[in-house]
Amino acid sequence: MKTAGQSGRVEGRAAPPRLRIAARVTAAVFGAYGFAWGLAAFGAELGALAGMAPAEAVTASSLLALVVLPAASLWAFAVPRITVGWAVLGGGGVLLIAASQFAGKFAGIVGP
Amino acid sequence: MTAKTRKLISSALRAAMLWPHTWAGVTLGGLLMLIFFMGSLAVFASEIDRWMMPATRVGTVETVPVSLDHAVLPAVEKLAAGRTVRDWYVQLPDERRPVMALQLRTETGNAGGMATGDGQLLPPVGTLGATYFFYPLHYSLHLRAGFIGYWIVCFASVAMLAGLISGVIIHARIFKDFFTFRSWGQVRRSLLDLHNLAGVLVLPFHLMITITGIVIVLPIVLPAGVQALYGGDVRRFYDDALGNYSRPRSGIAAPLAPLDPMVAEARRLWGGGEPAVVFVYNAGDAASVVRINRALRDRISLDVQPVFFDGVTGQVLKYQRPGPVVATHRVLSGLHFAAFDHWPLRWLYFLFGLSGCVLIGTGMLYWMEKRRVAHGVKPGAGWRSVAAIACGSTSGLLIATLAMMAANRLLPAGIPSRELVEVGLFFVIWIGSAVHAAVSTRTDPPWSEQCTAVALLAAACVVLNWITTGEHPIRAVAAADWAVLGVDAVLALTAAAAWRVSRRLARRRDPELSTLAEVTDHA
Repeated sequence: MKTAGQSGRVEGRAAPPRLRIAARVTAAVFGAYGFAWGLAAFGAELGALAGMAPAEAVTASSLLALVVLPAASLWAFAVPRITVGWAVLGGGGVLLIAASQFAGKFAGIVGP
Repeated sequence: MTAKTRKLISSALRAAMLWPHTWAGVTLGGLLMLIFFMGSLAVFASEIDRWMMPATRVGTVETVPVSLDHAVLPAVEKLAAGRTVRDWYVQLPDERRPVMALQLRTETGNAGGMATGDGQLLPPVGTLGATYFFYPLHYSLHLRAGFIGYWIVCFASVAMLAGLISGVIIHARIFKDFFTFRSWGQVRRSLLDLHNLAGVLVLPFHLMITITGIVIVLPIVLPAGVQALYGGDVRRFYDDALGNYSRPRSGIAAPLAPLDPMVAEARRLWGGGEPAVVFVYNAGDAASVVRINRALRDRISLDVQPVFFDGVTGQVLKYQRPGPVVATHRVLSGLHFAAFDHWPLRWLYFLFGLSGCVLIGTGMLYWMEKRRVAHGVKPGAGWRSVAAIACGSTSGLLIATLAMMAANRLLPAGIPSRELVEVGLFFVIWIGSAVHAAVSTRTDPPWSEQCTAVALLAAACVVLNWITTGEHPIRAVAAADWAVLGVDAVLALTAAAAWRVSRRLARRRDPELSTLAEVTDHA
């Protein structure tokens, strides 16, 4: 497994260390939270679509997102290239939120 | 196991985990120390309350159930003193709190008080005690506006989780550490051993308590699902998930139906159990609602099984059981609350919580010792501020807590806003001890002086309790007042331990570079 420890030198050439650390810390704080947010929102919509009671779907998806959150935070420090980290956490978060919005619209059309 | 571990956790991953582990600890260690320490105190909040509110040491609660109609309602009327009451609630007496606590919302403001089981109002307690000061400090830092305190505490808790996970990754030799503690070596080595020992032995508890702490307020700090399915209305989510019920005032006056039959009906619905809290919303209105919560002491789950009654007709309005996932959420929350009646487990929660303080504190100390090796014995401003924070959040926090307890016994009963004077003293003395640490840190923070202060204050608390209430340990044993005896015993132990530590530290020579051998370990 390739991680940040091995590729630090390669990255060091690309960006000044201060900026690199800032990118990782913000990814770990905001990127990971955004990703967890997307997971909780999409999971809740998906659960509701699958016929779960809304309160059950919200609770289940939030608990899952809470377990993912610290792991995603740490992964932002372990991933070799922080651009990849931001793409997965930030991009994934945006995609999941968009998917939850879509699922919500869909539920609005087919639902009661 | 080890071969698999080696493949799973490469040395590069371990190296990558070191930076977030170190800096999350250094930046949030002080805050986490406050959260863990106040959480540990909160385990015995009722007992500390008895110590800080001597008027409520009325002996064990009578076995006869409290009558709401004959004992509670007259007390509510006396507290209202002629004002129109809009909502009120009562926490009924239990084994640990032999008095009932009343809170009223009237047209002209709030009122609160305590009363004995037969409805005799007690004089104002003049303190927030542990239940209303130490405990909220643990989960909200008393920053209520916009739940900002919840956000800060949960942010630190996620960092704690990340710190625990990264700590395990950095330090994959978990089983070896069950047997590793080298106290005879250098300070830095034994600090790391103690850090690892506390981290490894109590890891399951630390993981459980940190994650369940966030779980309790999850709909508030991660409201994504509530946003998606409830349009962001947390109240509607809670109504749905926990079976809560509310309705607006009608404006038409109507008398309250007898409450005791409602309690009997709630008992029947629960199939046993005791009522713990009774709420009356929209009192005196045709739309009044009575809510009865079940006591938590006979199970783990934090599900209070609320039964809602129409306040005028006395008919059940709503009694809804949670679904399986919400029930799981309540069990996870209950694991954190530890409201169940189990004394050995309560002591374990207290000790394991303090072991979290040891984990965080030794982590900060280890960082300081290691930096000293890198920077020499006269380190810079960054090192000194971490040293001041470490000192202020350990011995300084103890000093502030003990000073508040001493002030609780010293301040006269009649002074205005007595409870706020106590709280003010807590914060002034806490800030003062942090400033003292910042100013007097040269090669080391003023551990020895502050430990002496801790020892003297803790001893003073025991003596002051004796002088001001007449309740010395022998009388407490005779009266079977285990709450006061327990608090006094822990205070006395604290005094003895802090005194020993301060004497040992005073004898210790200033650190020299020769005793701080070069960095050899992996962290």
